[in-house]
Amino acid sequence: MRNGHPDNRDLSLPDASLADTDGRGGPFSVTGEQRANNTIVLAFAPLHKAALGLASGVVFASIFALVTLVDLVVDPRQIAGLGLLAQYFYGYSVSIAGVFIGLAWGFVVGFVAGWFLAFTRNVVLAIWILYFRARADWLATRDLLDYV
Amino acid sequence: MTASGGAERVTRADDELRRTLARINGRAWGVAMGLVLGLGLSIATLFLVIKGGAVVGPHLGLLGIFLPGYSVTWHGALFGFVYAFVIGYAIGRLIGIIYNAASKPRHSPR
Repeated sequence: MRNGHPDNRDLSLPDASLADTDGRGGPFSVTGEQRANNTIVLAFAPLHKAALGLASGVVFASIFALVTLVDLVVDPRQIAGLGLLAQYFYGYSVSIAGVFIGLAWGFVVGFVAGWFLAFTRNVVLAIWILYFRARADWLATRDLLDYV
Repeated sequence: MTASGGAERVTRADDELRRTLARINGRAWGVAMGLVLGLGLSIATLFLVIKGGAVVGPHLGLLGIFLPGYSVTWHGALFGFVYAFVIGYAIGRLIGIIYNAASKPRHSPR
Protein backbone atom coordinates (compact mmCIF):
# COMPACT_ATOMS: atom_id res chain seq x y z
CA MET A 1 0.00 0.00 0.00
CA ARG A 2 1.96 3.04 -1.21
CA ASN A 3 -0.88 5.39 -2.16
CA GLY A 4 -1.50 6.81 1.30
CA HIS A 5 2.16 7.24 2.10
CA PRO A 6 3.23 10.87 2.88
CA ASP A 7 6.00 10.66 0.28
CA ASN A 8 3.37 10.19 -2.47
CA ARG A 9 1.52 13.46 -1.82
CA ASP A 10 1.40 16.21 -4.40
CA LEU A 11 4.29 18.50 -3.48
CA SER A 12 2.96 21.35 -5.60
CA LEU A 13 0.12 21.91 -3.12
CA PRO A 14 0.95 24.13 -0.13
CA ASP A 15 0.86 22.27 3.17
CA ALA A 16 -1.01 24.29 5.84
CA SER A 17 1.07 22.76 8.64
CA LEU A 18 4.26 24.14 7.11
CA ALA A 19 2.93 27.65 6.47
CA ASP A 20 5.01 30.55 7.73
CA THR A 21 1.96 32.28 9.25
CA ASP A 22 3.73 34.35 11.92
CA GLY A 23 6.56 35.48 9.65
CA ARG A 24 9.11 33.92 12.03
CA GLY A 25 9.60 30.81 9.93
CA GLY A 26 7.55 27.61 9.80
CA PRO A 27 8.80 24.43 11.44
CA PHE A 28 10.87 23.43 8.39
CA SER A 29 12.15 26.86 7.38
CA VAL A 30 15.75 27.69 8.33
CA THR A 31 14.78 29.98 11.22
CA GLY A 32 12.09 27.59 12.45
CA GLU A 33 14.54 24.71 12.50
CA GLN A 34 17.13 26.81 14.34
CA ARG A 35 14.53 27.79 16.94
CA ALA A 36 13.51 24.17 17.37
CA ASN A 37 17.16 23.11 17.70
CA ASN A 38 17.83 25.79 20.33
CA THR A 39 14.77 24.68 22.32
CA ILE A 40 15.82 21.03 22.15
CA VAL A 41 19.41 21.83 23.15
CA LEU A 42 18.16 23.83 26.16
CA ALA A 43 15.58 21.19 27.14
CA PHE A 44 18.12 18.36 27.12
CA ALA A 45 21.14 20.30 28.38
CA PRO A 46 23.08 18.43 31.06
CA LEU A 47 23.67 19.81 34.56
CA HIS A 48 27.22 20.78 35.57
CA LYS A 49 28.06 18.21 38.24
CA ALA A 50 30.84 20.13 40.00
CA ALA A 51 28.78 23.35 40.01
CA LEU A 52 25.75 21.65 41.58
CA GLY A 53 28.07 19.92 44.05
CA LEU A 54 29.65 23.24 44.96
CA ALA A 55 26.25 24.95 45.32
CA SER A 56 24.72 22.29 47.54
CA GLY A 57 28.00 21.92 49.44
CA VAL A 58 28.06 25.61 50.33
CA VAL A 59 24.38 25.58 51.34
CA PHE A 60 24.67 22.37 53.41
CA ALA A 61 27.82 23.63 55.12
CA SER A 62 26.12 26.94 56.00
CA ILE A 63 23.06 25.15 57.39
CA PHE A 64 25.21 22.77 59.47
CA ALA A 65 27.27 25.63 60.93
CA LEU A 66 24.22 27.86 61.50
CA VAL A 67 22.23 25.13 63.26
CA THR A 68 25.22 24.39 65.52
CA LEU A 69 25.59 28.08 66.37
CA VAL A 70 21.86 28.47 67.08
CA ASP A 71 21.94 25.34 69.24
CA LEU A 72 24.91 26.76 71.19
CA VAL A 73 22.93 29.93 71.92
CA VAL A 74 19.33 28.74 72.46
CA ASP A 75 19.97 25.24 73.85
CA PRO A 76 22.94 25.42 76.23
CA ARG A 77 21.73 22.33 78.15
CA GLN A 78 21.82 20.26 74.93
CA ILE A 79 18.19 19.10 75.14
CA ALA A 80 17.93 18.78 71.35
CA GLY A 81 20.75 16.21 71.31
CA LEU A 82 22.42 17.66 68.22
CA GLY A 83 25.70 16.23 69.51
CA LEU A 84 24.43 12.78 68.48
CA LEU A 85 25.40 13.75 64.93
CA ALA A 86 28.95 12.86 66.03
CA GLN A 87 27.87 9.24 65.52
CA TYR A 88 28.01 9.92 61.78
CA PHE A 89 30.31 12.96 61.52
CA TYR A 90 33.63 12.20 63.18
CA GLY A 91 34.89 15.00 65.44
CA TYR A 92 31.64 16.97 65.46
CA SER A 93 30.33 18.45 68.70
CA VAL A 94 28.08 21.34 69.72
CA SER A 95 30.92 23.79 70.36
CA ILE A 96 32.77 26.57 68.56
CA ALA A 97 35.20 24.00 67.14
CA GLY A 98 32.18 21.91 66.14
CA VAL A 99 30.88 24.81 64.03
CA PHE A 100 33.97 24.57 61.81
CA ILE A 101 34.01 20.77 61.77
CA GLY A 102 30.30 20.85 60.88
CA LEU A 103 31.09 23.36 58.14
CA ALA A 104 33.64 20.99 56.61
CA TRP A 105 31.42 17.91 56.97
CA GLY A 106 28.42 19.81 55.57
CA PHE A 107 30.42 20.82 52.52
CA VAL A 108 31.63 17.27 51.89
CA VAL A 109 28.17 15.73 52.29
CA GLY A 110 26.49 18.50 50.26
CA PHE A 111 29.06 18.28 47.48
CA VAL A 112 28.68 14.51 47.16
CA ALA A 113 24.86 14.80 47.22
CA GLY A 114 24.77 17.57 44.60
CA TRP A 115 27.35 15.92 42.34
CA PHE A 116 25.47 12.61 42.50
CA LEU A 117 22.11 14.32 41.89
CA ALA A 118 23.46 15.99 38.73
CA PHE A 119 25.15 12.76 37.61
CA THR A 120 21.94 10.74 38.05
CA ARG A 121 19.87 13.38 36.28
CA ASN A 122 22.30 13.45 33.34
CA VAL A 123 22.35 9.65 33.06
CA VAL A 124 18.54 9.43 33.08
CA LEU A 125 18.34 12.20 30.47
CA ALA A 126 20.93 10.44 28.27
CA ILE A 127 18.90 7.22 28.45
CA TRP A 128 15.76 9.15 27.43
CA ILE A 129 17.57 10.75 24.47
CA LEU A 130 18.87 7.33 23.41
CA TYR A 131 15.36 5.89 23.65
CA PHE A 132 13.74 8.69 21.63
CA ARG A 133 16.48 8.52 18.99
CA ALA A 134 16.14 4.74 18.66
CA ARG A 135 12.35 5.07 18.42
CA ALA A 136 12.61 7.81 15.78
CA ASP A 137 15.03 5.66 13.74
CA TRP A 138 12.71 2.71 14.01
CA LEU A 139 9.65 4.77 12.99
CA ALA A 140 11.56 6.18 10.02
CA THR A 141 12.59 2.76 8.70
CA ARG A 142 9.78 0.42 9.77
CA ASP A 143 8.01 0.53 6.36
CA LEU A 144 11.28 0.07 4.48
CA LEU A 145 10.23 -3.32 3.15
CA ASP A 146 7.21 -1.69 1.42
CA TYR A 147 9.65 0.00 -0.95
CA VAL A 148 11.78 -3.05 -1.74
CA MET B 1 18.28 18.26 2.03
CA THR B 2 20.90 15.60 1.27
CA ALA B 3 21.59 12.67 3.56
CA SER B 4 25.09 13.97 4.40
CA GLY B 5 23.67 17.44 5.16
CA GLY B 6 21.16 15.92 7.58
CA ALA B 7 23.83 13.85 9.30
CA GLU B 8 26.07 16.91 9.57
CA ARG B 9 23.24 18.86 11.18
CA VAL B 10 22.57 16.05 13.70
CA THR B 11 26.29 15.96 14.62
CA ARG B 12 26.29 19.75 15.08
CA ALA B 13 23.20 19.51 17.34
CA ASP B 14 24.92 16.72 19.34
CA ASP B 15 27.98 18.90 19.72
CA GLU B 16 25.87 21.86 20.87
CA LEU B 17 24.06 19.61 23.34
CA ARG B 18 27.38 18.52 24.84
CA ARG B 19 28.64 22.10 25.16
CA THR B 20 25.43 23.62 26.55
CA LEU B 21 24.87 23.39 30.29
CA ALA B 22 21.44 23.68 31.84
CA ARG B 23 20.81 26.73 33.98
CA ILE B 24 18.74 26.41 37.12
CA ASN B 25 15.54 28.37 37.64
CA GLY B 26 16.05 29.61 41.21
CA ARG B 27 12.37 30.28 41.85
CA ALA B 28 11.31 26.82 40.62
CA TRP B 29 13.99 25.14 42.73
CA GLY B 30 12.91 27.24 45.72
CA VAL B 31 9.26 26.30 45.36
CA ALA B 32 10.12 22.64 44.78
CA MET B 33 12.44 22.39 47.79
CA GLY B 34 9.99 24.39 49.91
CA LEU B 35 7.12 22.07 49.04
CA VAL B 36 9.19 18.93 49.66
CA LEU B 37 10.39 20.13 53.07
CA GLY B 38 7.06 21.74 54.01
CA LEU B 39 4.93 18.75 53.08
CA GLY B 40 7.49 16.38 54.59
CA LEU B 41 7.38 18.07 57.99
CA SER B 42 3.58 18.50 57.89
CA ILE B 43 2.97 14.88 56.99
CA ALA B 44 5.44 13.66 59.64
CA THR B 45 3.70 15.85 62.26
CA LEU B 46 0.19 14.83 61.23
CA PHE B 47 1.16 11.15 61.21
CA LEU B 48 2.32 11.38 64.84
CA VAL B 49 -0.74 13.43 65.88
CA ILE B 50 -3.13 10.90 64.34
CA LYS B 51 -1.15 7.98 65.83
CA GLY B 52 -1.58 9.58 69.27
CA GLY B 53 -0.34 8.00 72.51
CA ALA B 54 0.63 9.14 76.00
CA VAL B 55 3.45 11.38 74.75
CA VAL B 56 2.99 12.55 71.15
CA GLY B 57 6.19 12.88 69.09
CA PRO B 58 8.76 13.65 71.81
CA HIS B 59 11.67 13.67 69.36
CA LEU B 60 10.09 15.60 66.48
CA GLY B 61 8.86 18.11 69.05
CA LEU B 62 12.50 19.05 69.75
CA LEU B 63 12.37 21.02 66.48
CA GLY B 64 10.49 23.59 68.55
CA ILE B 65 13.88 24.65 69.95
CA PHE B 66 14.94 25.84 66.49
CA LEU B 67 11.50 26.76 65.13
CA PRO B 68 9.66 28.79 67.82
CA GLY B 69 5.94 27.97 67.86
CA TYR B 70 6.31 24.55 66.31
CA SER B 71 4.91 21.54 68.20
CA VAL B 72 3.56 18.10 67.34
CA THR B 73 -0.09 19.22 67.17
CA TRP B 74 -2.64 20.04 64.44
CA HIS B 75 -1.71 23.70 64.35
CA GLY B 76 1.97 22.72 64.71
CA ALA B 77 1.67 20.93 61.36
CA LEU B 78 0.59 24.22 59.76
CA PHE B 79 3.37 26.15 61.51
CA GLY B 80 5.85 23.49 60.44
CA PHE B 81 4.70 23.72 56.83
CA VAL B 82 5.24 27.48 56.77
CA TYR B 83 8.64 27.25 58.48
CA ALA B 84 9.90 24.38 56.32
CA PHE B 85 8.57 26.00 53.13
CA VAL B 86 10.44 29.23 53.88
CA ILE B 87 13.65 27.35 54.74
CA GLY B 88 13.32 25.09 51.68
CA TYR B 89 12.64 28.07 49.42
CA ALA B 90 15.79 29.80 50.70
CA ILE B 91 17.84 26.63 50.17
CA GLY B 92 16.56 26.15 46.60
CA ARG B 93 17.07 29.81 45.75
CA LEU B 94 20.64 29.79 47.12
CA ILE B 95 21.52 26.59 45.26
CA GLY B 96 20.17 28.17 42.05
CA ILE B 97 22.19 31.37 42.50
CA ILE B 98 25.46 29.59 43.34
CA TYR B 99 25.00 26.96 40.61
CA ASN B 100 24.30 29.53 37.90
CA ALA B 101 27.31 31.58 38.98
CA ALA B 102 29.60 28.53 39.09
CA SER B 103 28.47 27.04 35.77
CA LYS B 104 28.68 30.31 33.84
CA PRO B 105 30.78 29.68 30.68
CA ARG B 106 34.23 31.25 30.94
CA HIS B 107 34.67 31.74 27.18
CA SER B 108 31.95 32.80 24.78
CA PRO B 109 30.53 29.87 22.76
CA ARG B 110 31.51 29.46 19.12
